[in-house]
Amino acid sequence: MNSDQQIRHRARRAFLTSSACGLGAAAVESLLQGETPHSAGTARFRARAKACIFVFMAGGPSQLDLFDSKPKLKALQGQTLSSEMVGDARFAFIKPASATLMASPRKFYRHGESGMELSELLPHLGSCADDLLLVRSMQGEQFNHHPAQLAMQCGVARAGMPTAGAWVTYALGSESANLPGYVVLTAGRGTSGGATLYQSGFLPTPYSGVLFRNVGEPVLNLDNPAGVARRQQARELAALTDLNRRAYERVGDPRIAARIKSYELAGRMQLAAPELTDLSDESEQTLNAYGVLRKEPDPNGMRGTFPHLKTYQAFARNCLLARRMVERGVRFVNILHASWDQHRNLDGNLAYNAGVVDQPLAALINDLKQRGMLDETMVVWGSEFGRTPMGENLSSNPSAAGRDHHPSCFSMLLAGGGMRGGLTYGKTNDVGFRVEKDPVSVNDLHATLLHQFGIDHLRLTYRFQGRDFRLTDVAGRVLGDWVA
Amino acid sequence: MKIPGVHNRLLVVLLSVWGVLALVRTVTAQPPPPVQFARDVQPLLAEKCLRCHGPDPQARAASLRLDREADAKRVLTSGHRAVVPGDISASELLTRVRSQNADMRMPPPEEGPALDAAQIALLQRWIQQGAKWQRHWAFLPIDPGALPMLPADWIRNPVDAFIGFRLQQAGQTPSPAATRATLIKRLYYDLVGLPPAPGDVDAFVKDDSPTAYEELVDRLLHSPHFGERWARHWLDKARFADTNGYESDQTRTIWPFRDWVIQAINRDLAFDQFTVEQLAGDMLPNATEEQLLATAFHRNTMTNAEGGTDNEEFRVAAVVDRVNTTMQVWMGMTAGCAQCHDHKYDAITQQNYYELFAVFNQTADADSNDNAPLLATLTQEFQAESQRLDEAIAAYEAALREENPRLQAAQKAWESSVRAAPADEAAGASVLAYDSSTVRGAPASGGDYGKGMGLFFTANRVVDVTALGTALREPKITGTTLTIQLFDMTSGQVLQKVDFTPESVGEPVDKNASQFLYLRPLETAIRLQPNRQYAIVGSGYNQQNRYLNVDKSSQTGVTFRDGDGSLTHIDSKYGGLPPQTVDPGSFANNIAYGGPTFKFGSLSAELRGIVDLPEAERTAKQRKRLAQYFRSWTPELASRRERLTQLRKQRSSLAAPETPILRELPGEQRRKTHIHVRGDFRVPGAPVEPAVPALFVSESLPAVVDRLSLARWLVDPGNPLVARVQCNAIWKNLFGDGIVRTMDDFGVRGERPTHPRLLDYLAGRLRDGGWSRKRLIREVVLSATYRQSSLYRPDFVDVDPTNRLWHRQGRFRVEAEIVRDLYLAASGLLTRKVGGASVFPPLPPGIAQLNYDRGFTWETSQGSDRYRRGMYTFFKRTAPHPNLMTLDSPESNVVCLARNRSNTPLGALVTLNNEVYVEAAQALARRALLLSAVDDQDRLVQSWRLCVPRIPTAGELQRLHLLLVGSRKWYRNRPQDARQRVGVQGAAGDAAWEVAAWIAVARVILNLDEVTTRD
Repeated sequence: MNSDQQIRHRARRAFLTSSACGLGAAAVESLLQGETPHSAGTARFRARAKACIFVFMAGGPSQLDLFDSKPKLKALQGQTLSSEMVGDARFAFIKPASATLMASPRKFYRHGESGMELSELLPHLGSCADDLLLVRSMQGEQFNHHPAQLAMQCGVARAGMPTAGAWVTYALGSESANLPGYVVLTAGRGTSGGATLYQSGFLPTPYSGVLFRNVGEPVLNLDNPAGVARRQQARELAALTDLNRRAYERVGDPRIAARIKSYELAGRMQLAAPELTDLSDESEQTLNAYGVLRKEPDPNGMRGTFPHLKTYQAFARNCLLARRMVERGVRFVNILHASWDQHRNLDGNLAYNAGVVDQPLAALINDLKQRGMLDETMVVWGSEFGRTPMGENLSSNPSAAGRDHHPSCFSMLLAGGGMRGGLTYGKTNDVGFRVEKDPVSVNDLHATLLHQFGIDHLRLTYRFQGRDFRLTDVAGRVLGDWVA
Repeated sequence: MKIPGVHNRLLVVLLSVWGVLALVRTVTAQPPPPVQFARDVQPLLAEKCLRCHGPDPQARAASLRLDREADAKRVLTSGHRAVVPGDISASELLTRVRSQNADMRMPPPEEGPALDAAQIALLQRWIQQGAKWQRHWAFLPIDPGALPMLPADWIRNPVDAFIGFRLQQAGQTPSPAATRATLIKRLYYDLVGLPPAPGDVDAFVKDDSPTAYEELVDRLLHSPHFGERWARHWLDKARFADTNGYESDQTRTIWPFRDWVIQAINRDLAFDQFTVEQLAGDMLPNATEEQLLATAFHRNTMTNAEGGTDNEEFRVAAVVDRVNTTMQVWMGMTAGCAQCHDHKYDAITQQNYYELFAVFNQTADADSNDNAPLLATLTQEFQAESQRLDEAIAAYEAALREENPRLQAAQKAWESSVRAAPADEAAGASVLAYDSSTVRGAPASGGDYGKGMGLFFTANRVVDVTALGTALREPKITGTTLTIQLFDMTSGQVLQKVDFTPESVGEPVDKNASQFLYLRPLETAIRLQPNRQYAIVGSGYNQQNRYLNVDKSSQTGVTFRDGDGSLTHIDSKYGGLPPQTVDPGSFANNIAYGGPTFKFGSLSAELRGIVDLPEAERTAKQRKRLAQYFRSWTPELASRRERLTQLRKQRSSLAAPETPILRELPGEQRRKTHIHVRGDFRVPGAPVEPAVPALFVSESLPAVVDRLSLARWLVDPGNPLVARVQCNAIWKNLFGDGIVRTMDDFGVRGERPTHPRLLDYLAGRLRDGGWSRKRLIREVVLSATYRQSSLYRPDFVDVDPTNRLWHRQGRFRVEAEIVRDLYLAASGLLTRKVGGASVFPPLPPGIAQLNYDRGFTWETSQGSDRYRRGMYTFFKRTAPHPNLMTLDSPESNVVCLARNRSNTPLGALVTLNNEVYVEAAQALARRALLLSAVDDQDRLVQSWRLCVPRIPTAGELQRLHLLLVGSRKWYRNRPQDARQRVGVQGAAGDAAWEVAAWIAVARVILNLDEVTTRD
């Protein structure tokens, strides 16, 4: 059906079935999404994933200290890279002519049957290594935070584009009748991109991520005004519905029916969202596994950390909430955590940050697996770029050194949703500066992600300003090797 | 027939002539209509073929082009010809689209589905009929053709002739006119975005004069709120926002541009001039301040102030955005595709793109953090306010100098106490105490201390700091800006920020063996209170905006000049630690590292000397000096000094707004533009000169060499597209949809106009009518077409479900800003001030922190600014106000030509529960209770009509009354709930339960679909 036919179909159904609440559910649901019609990408493949939890670590974690061991850096410590090696790579702060290589002090261990090699900072994730797909050969082009974050979220480093979460929700909708399809959770301080990391760009607004908050009501405006108890609220909504229904009968505009429905849904969300965020029905064992009540570490000596934000607990809670959301039919959960931008004090701060994510993330993967949800839930962990093998601020105080932004190679983790567990994909060169084997672009990542949802990334398009836009822009390959 | 306007007589004559022709045409029996290339074939080719057989040579397959006639008909390398006029079997195009063989079939299966039978038949007929080519409709000259003639009883002006004719052709009739109550509501919503007052509605409904409607239209067109309503439409296109975007997303001052747009629309600045001033106001001879300000249109591009960026990269990104926005807003075309490769559908090559880019590539702005070049505008408001403050300050200063026996006695007492104490313990001597041991972490309010090194301290008496300074080891600052900031720890506020740059460091005021002391006097003294904690932070950045390694014992020292002129220096030396680069956000930790050294100030030797002199021996100057010092701190004058400080603070924060504008580079600084290979600015290709795409060029149009000539080219009468695009946008604002539905695409893949001749008629009226938008809007809203009812019609459900015939008016939800305005206006809360700086209505906690711009705080506006119209809400790009975004405000990073209109649970929650909407319901209830009413029913009707102009039906009234009665009963039994519901304003004269019940009613009325629907 073309868009005109769709509207005709909808309008007809809505118009002809005005009795009481006998509106065609499908017609109203489609109207609720906004007035812009869409013909979302045809599902071409068997869908392996039904939901995605995208854990986004804004700032650029050091892959060299977490995922990609480079013993050779020890021997080359203090040396500069040749200009051939550096090529046209650009850096935010370091000068390639003088910046010198810096080895990681971290020990790496092999885990599971697959023998996946991970840093000592990630012991919990090591316990689920055989469920993880470790990509060591991610490549990007943007070396500044916000453009790179846009590229990772939207496939293009440009403002005004929809994020992957918006695209997936646009294509597939939500499975939950009472909760938004695309939800955002944050812990710690804000990101470079702020709300641009979950906006819908040119897609209709309902496909933008809905922020679940750490303070106050879980969703903005969820609570009734003071002095409005549930029964009084019901009284007012009943009157409103009656009056709006009269208008609908008089006018015949199907949008009024959709409006009535949206108020009903709002009422349902008022019940569903607090139920979602109420963890009292989780066992102590579960709470402890995620670390929801764990102590915040002593931040002494770790500069750039924000103990008052209680990031350890907040992140653990977000991971648990993500599982609860997926259980309730939320399509795409985006967990944001900033503060990975270690230009200095890498050792202390990375340990602190790894501590934030390691236990809850491993608990999430294990929990999903135990509940039989991992097969259909894709977990993605990654950032906008990685960090340089050259140290930054070495000369002034070696113990407080860091690393600069490095989009030329970085690592990501995936799990579930039909991804091959235990696979370590791609290879970087022996100093961890360039990808040597199986480079992966963000468009490849997105193409594969969509593929797991049963969507052909070439066909999921939206016409805007005369052009059929895709999440994968003009590139993207489905990486068959990743699929179990 | 009734045609308003100056051309009345002429049109009647023309109408009758054209009308006859039109009638003749309709009565002649027609064979199946001939295929029209532009209408029928070109869209099909664009959709199915041009991706691989279009203008983009890189994507082109089999060297076949179907976008140009000669190429489509020539002999291909294969020996075939795609299109042979009149010869179906020789036309390879037909053979291919009909083929069942997957290797032969076009489009290939992987590119998309095959053509259906109707599409193939269409191509076949077209070829049979001679395969005639036509230029794309949007580029053809404006030609409304003959005005159709119709029975006069419905037609009010030519707009209706076009609409009526097509309806008649379809065997249909237009909708009857809407009720008078709906008409006045519609006009108010469309023209000023506010609800009509019930009195205005009644007057209009009762007024049976034939000119009543027209008079109402004229009144609204002259309302100052008309400019607001229509400025906001334009600001969507301008991607207007109050911040820079990108990582740090700092605030920029660009609201004066919003004021400019409002004023330009209110005075009906002709659209051609409106265009020229915004695109090239700076290049006009003797450009006025207003014309310079207009160029801020293209300074709404984002600025990237993230550390370690390549400014050229983001300058180029801004220029790209200007090219794309200009093409979208004025031409309705997408040029952006050609940034990386030739356009696949419309014949815009990459070379064309960079020729346009060259036009915009000569402005002075270069992604600098301060958004230079800036224009300071001395608004009237600013001048009046600064004069008021200057006078008040002078008055208070005089009052502080006044002779007064009581003060003289107090001074004498103090002098004796000074003489009685040892020199360095004299009163007022030790003013500052270092106190870092007890304070760590962020201030209670959640602010932070910026980036740098510093220390915490308390003052042990009231201190008026009149200067801030720094002690440097070197006699000069080189290559850096050193910033000293004074924070109030309790509030987290920056009290003062002072910059020292190489150019502005000045002469040292004091030297000793190791340090050079520099002072910057403060325009307004900062009062430090005793026993309150403060922090002082020094930070340095070099020119690349990188943090400095702050040298030991230099640059972080901070000097106060106290009210008496004595200096107190605090030096944050890093005892024993190596020099540190300062980490963003780690100030609190930094200061814990070392023990800063400091020294106490003291009553200066000069003052002490005066005190020690017997009074009779003091010179007049000395007496004055001592009195001045005493008065600077004595508690006797505390309240006056405090007021003076406030005034000075107000004066110093009262800055003339500085708006980013365009400035053309002078000759020697002009840039050379190259094609960016694959869109990468680092890979320059062939050089290019400014030009517009060949696609649009016609001989009658002026040559384009720069922004000014481009602006003039756009609005040249020979350029048909600009007027069409503007009329389409205006139509959309008045009907809910465009005549061309694809607002952003007038190219070959866009939809064709529903009424091409109507669009051309309107475009001609705009272009030939002095480019007056008010006049065009007036003509459209006076039409019978506009006045139609918006009720859905069962007879059209199948015939015209999307209202392409305009068989009824549109029904659509108003924009986010207007939703807010309607609620506030109905409840009586709205502040109707026009223009001015952006305001900060309440924002839920946590939202402003979504982005980590650490200097940013959302200071909720107080008083009347809390209730300004939605369009004045401060727009932070990385953390926009959720009330706006939930109801589909544009993200404002790129141009927006058509907002989405969603209908979501989250939107429902905004108007049900959000703070300002709850306040509106409370205020509406209080307003309702103040009305004189004979009974509940009467009061209900009046409350309803504050929100919905029509009188409610008996059934509706009954339903509301049921709610009122139920709510009364409920709240009578729940006094606590009732008190909470009425809120801080209290219940005034009425019982809380009564007010609470009316709030319940008010909330329901305000949430009626009808309130936020333009119907």
